[in-house]
Amino acid sequence: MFQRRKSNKMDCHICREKIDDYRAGKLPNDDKLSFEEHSLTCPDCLELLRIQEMADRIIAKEKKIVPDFYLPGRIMQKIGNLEKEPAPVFTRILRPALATIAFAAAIMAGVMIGDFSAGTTDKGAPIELTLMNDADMEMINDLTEE
Amino acid sequence: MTDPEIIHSVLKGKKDNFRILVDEHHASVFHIAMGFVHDRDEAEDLTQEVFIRAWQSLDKFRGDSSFSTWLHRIAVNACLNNARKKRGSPVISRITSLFTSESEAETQALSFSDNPEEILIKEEHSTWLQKALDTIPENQRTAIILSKYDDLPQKEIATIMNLTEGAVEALLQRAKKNLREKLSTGAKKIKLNRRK
Repeated sequence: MFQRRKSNKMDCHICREKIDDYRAGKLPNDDKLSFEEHSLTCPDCLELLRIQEMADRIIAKEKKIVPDFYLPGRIMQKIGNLEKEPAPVFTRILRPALATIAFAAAIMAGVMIGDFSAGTTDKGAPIELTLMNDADMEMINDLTEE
Repeated sequence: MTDPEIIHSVLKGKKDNFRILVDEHHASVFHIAMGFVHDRDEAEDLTQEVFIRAWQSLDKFRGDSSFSTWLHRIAVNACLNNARKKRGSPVISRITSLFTSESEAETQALSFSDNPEEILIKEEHSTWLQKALDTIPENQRTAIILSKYDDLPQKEIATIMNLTEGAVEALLQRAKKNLREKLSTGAKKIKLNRRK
């Protein structure tokens, strides 16, 4: 509650706390009178009150500004254009291309890994043996004579 | 037709019905944008951007909150991103601030005479308020803009900002106090500068 005193720090402090309630008309009559009395004698608080009023006036003025009548039309037109516009290059070409390359690379990597592992486990025959022609070395009648 | 019904029809293919939502909500989005940018053309551009974003993610609207709350969230995010872009990289702004003293910056922002009221009326610009609003924390600024520019009740602001009503009330109190201090400090500094 307000106490009727001369302007001092405490009064200024309370005044600043109550400024919103005063402006909103929420202060009881006694407090309202004390507030006004203090504001009239304290230049700092009076200025603060005026500043607050000014700020609210600017806001009220800005709130009166209305958007262009054709803004909704422009928004819908923009949306319509977005629908017609082809997808950007990245979405249209690069993304499928990158997906294909990644898929191919994965298959290649799989094949290579498989190949390496086969090389390490399957020792196989020496190269000389693989080049030999077995048919030349063994006559068919040798087998029939037995 | 309710908003969810309109959205459903748009998603079913009646795309022209989106116009109903634009007609209904564009003024509210515009006022929020005005609170952030204080410029009609820029606010209109932001409004357009907000509706395009809403259009592009309409299928993601789950209906947990009302369409207007969802739209307001998009609007706040768009406006904050726009403000961050304008402010530029924090590193650059910190370097810039090293070379600009606070009083110089205030003087640039406010061309004041002895009576702050006179200047504001004379200049008919909201630079002073804009600068003060820009210096208060983002969540306080958002709360005060939603409250003052779009006249939204605390409950609605709480839903938009994902806070409790109590938190919004406290935020608004702090925002008002902070804003008043910034405006007052600015006025005092300008007065002192002019007396020198």
